Amino acid sequence: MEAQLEDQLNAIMARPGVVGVTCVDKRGLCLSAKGIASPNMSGVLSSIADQARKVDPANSSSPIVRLESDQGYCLVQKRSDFTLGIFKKY
Amino acid sequence: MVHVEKVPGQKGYMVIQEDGTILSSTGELSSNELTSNQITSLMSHSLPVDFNTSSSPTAGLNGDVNGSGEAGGHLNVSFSPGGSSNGGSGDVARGFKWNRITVQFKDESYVACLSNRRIHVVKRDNAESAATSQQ
Repeated sequence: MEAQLEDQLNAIMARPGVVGVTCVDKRGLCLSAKGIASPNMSGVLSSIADQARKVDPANSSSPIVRLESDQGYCLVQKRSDFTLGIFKKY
Repeated sequence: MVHVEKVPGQKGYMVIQEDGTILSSTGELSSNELTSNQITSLMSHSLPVDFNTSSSPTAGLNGDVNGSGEAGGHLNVSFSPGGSSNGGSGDVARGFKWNRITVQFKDESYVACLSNRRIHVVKRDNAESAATSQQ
């Protein structure tokens, strides 16, 4: 199971512009982190994904959160039992 | 002067203070305190990331989640004019300042920017804004 997750994360890391990726379980604990992503971020990313859902409670779909800065951006989405965070550089 | 009504696909607009107080609002975001509080809470998350670090992650992640919405507190993900709101040379100041947050649902999205210690929030229709950008 871990090998499959690692393979998927490595495939994401190989995409152009991606400098980090992390996968977090539903409790906010880090499953894996690569590149600039840190295991310390997992709780914050999970909390961001949870909070984003509450922005529009009438909308049942899970939102994609995009945190942007001048140098790059971070994409966060929560699925049923995990949260994925992808860091991309411009 | 901000001409938010010209934003393609905009369905509502809101200006809020850092503590969640609504300064002005129009459209579907008119007097929407729930959205105001959630956006403020969302922007108070601290996630400093150094994109210039190729291998090691940012060491100074403090994981501070300021959900209390204190009037005196500053937004950790914010980008402050002059870059002095964090007031130090620590890792957070060296790390990354998020200046825009987009929460994208299936049909609509919320875009929040922080400027002059105020959060500007626009609710946009995804299909309409995508059609406009393709033109």
